[in-house]
Amino acid sequence: MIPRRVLLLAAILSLTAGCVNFLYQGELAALDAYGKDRHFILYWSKTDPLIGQSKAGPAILLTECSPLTRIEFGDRPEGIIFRGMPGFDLLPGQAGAVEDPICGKILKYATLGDAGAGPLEVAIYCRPAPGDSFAVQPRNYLAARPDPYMFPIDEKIRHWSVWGETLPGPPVPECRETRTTNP
Amino acid sequence: MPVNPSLPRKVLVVHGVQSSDTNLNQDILTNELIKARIDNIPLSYACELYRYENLNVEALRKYNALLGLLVAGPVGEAVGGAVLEMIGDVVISLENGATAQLIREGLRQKVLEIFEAGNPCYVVAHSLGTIYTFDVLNALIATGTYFDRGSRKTWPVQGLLTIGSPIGLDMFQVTGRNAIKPFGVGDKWFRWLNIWDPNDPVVSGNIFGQHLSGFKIAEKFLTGNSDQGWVIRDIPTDTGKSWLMAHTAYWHSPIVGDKLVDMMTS
Repeated sequence: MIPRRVLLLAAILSLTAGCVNFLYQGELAALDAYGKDRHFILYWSKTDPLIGQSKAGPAILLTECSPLTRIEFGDRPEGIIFRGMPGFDLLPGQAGAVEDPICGKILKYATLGDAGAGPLEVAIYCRPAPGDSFAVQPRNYLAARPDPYMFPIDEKIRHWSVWGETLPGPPVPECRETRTTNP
Repeated sequence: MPVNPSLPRKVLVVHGVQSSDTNLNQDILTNELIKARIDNIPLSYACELYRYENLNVEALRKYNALLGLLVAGPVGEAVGGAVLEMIGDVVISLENGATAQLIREGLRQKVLEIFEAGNPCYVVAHSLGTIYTFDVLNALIATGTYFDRGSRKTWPVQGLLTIGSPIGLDMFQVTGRNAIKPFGVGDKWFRWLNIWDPNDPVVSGNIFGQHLSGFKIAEKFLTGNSDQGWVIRDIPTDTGKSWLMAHTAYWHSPIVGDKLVDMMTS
């Protein structure tokens, strides 16, 4: 028979550290920054503790045939945004360096913790800047366009655990060309 | 010798507090993380660990008798010897004494060794290791010998990724880590990605791992002057774990792997 103290300790541990880990993921076919038809995967994790505040994100966008570009959408006061980097991302009509451009946004939610399974609107405003000699391959992601993209998001993983779990991310969509890099 | 972008990338890992050098494997964990995230994509790189914990252990020798007493007593039973050793490590980094100088000098030499070999170097620093890395990077920029803003080939470090850093805590701000050295005029940008879990007590300084509100830790160093030359991004990240487990979960986080891969290749 399990001693009462052990049961009590287990109950306390479950209440203080127990949580549900989620992995959300959606895939989309669309044009990339170079006008090619590509598959894109957007994923993020979320942790809901039994006691306390939930946490989520950032969401990572993976691009077929440009497997080394990994941009992120994170929670900020402005919403869930993809923050570009000077020298790496360009806003339309941009002349000089913009230090903190908003290059994309997940619409209709204030935080990733609020988002879940279902359609997710993602806007892209920037295009990748040409890389220098340190770039292994051209930076690439969804093409900038006025209308948002719609990712159908699924709840891929839902695990309950006492200690929490770091969930693995999905692989980059397999390149359907023999060449593995853009353009 | 200038950095040659066509040479294999070198990922220099700077660990946080540990009890000795023998159980350090963060270079292996980093390598596994990168491999897991790039799958079969060919990318030439190697991970290397900068070990300094034996210097800390040596410096702590004079405190050992006291630590032994504490661990044997009720305080030790409550917090454990490992926690007391961690406190000792933090004290050493704050003291700015001979041991901290030795650790920084060793890291500086390791960075310059990679620079002399011509490999593009990316530093991944964890916990207290981020403090030493911050000091060394800024000292190298201040020399004026390296980090020409107009040419990344003069940069001994191409990018910095910090995980679970306590750099935002007051104790490090009041000991001189309240500003970054500017690169000056130019068109290249040095990237510092600061990844942290909102429940990581080492980041928040809250021993109970209460949820950290706000979005800026490392970004507080930015002044808005473009001559600084730094791109700093705080990236709050869900590691899936809580409290001290969150502090060690970064080594398995796909977000950390993805952002490292992105930085190493662009």
